[in-house]
Amino acid sequence: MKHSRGPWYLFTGLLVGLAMGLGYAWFIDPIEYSNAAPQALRAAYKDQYRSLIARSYQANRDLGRTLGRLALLKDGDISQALNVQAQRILARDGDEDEARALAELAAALEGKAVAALATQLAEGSAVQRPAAEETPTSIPSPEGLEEAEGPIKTKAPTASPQPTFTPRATASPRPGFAVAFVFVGAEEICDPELPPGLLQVYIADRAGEGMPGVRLQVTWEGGEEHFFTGLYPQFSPGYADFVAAPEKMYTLHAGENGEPIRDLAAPECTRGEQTFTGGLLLRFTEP
Amino acid sequence: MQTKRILLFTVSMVLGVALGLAYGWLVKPLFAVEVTPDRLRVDYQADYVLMVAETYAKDQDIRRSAEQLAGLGNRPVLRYVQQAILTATDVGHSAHDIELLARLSEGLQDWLLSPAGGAS
Repeated sequence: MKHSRGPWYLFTGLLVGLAMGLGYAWFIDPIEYSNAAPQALRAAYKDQYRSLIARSYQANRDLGRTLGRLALLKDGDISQALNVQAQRILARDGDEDEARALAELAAALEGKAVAALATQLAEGSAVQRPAAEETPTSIPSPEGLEEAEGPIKTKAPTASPQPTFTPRATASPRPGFAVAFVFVGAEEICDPELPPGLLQVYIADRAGEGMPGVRLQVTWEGGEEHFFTGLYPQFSPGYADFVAAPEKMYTLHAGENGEPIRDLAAPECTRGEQTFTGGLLLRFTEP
Repeated sequence: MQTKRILLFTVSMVLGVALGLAYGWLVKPLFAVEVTPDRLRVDYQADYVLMVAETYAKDQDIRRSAEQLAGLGNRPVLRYVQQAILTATDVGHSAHDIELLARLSEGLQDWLLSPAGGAS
């Protein structure tokens, strides 16, 4: 008795081969890319890259170069990516300086902080100017040597020329470090659509513009937490918030030397028949 | 007849392996979307090192700079800086950038020779 088994064995062979090929390509010898761009980095390494960009921006204050670097990561919303990372760092009690750098960069990208920085520069504050503007390079470029006249000949080729002005780096402290912010007032916010117990803080400079990067510390019995302005540039560079638990009393410090605002508590609000926990809006200003 | 079937089965399996490899390597590589910094193109690596150098120029914290450079991979950190200087020169970075890299290199060498750096 003879019967045909058809071409199924060919299909079986194809499937077995396919499984072997996929197994080899995916698990035994997967592709390892070289010459990759930063956008392909694993999420944790992207965070590391973003932090480094923010820190280097603190050093060079070159927004153009910084934007070029951030663009390599191909984040959909660059400012939001920076803010989200800063919030994650704060949430896990990570490096405050790193969070501040990210928040400041996010605020700078919003454009508002740039004007504030310019004001501080005009007043001789400690905010770093781009190194290229502040100090000449110690090794002049060949083009520079060709174009330079007279004075360049008097300089030793390897000496670092000193700036001709005296930097006033300590004349005015950086925001959030040693400024004793003045408490302007508190306002109860009764909006049922806002999270219950939301403490909203707004820090303004002398010109009335929001100040990013200001450290805020809130303490309560048995606990404390800190956060920074500038994480929500869509509201204001000087905005920060904290959700307070009902029936707890809080003390808030704005900046390192700010006066403590004590006995802060979420108010009880009534709207018609409805009773709910409201929030507070606290305003501070630079003295 | 039996020999022919074995031959055809082998051919179909080889075809399957080829298709599987093509799909796994070319169409949908499994681990291709996530890479580590040591897989970055050399000019991106040089820019990474330059960012470290810019930060170092401001804070002078060589330990932190070394930690940041260690994020690039497993090679000695000084090697990354030396490679970055070569790359930055090749791709036409400014003299200022190259000087920043050189200062980072000097700082690292001093630190590595010191008891603190050598011990770590």
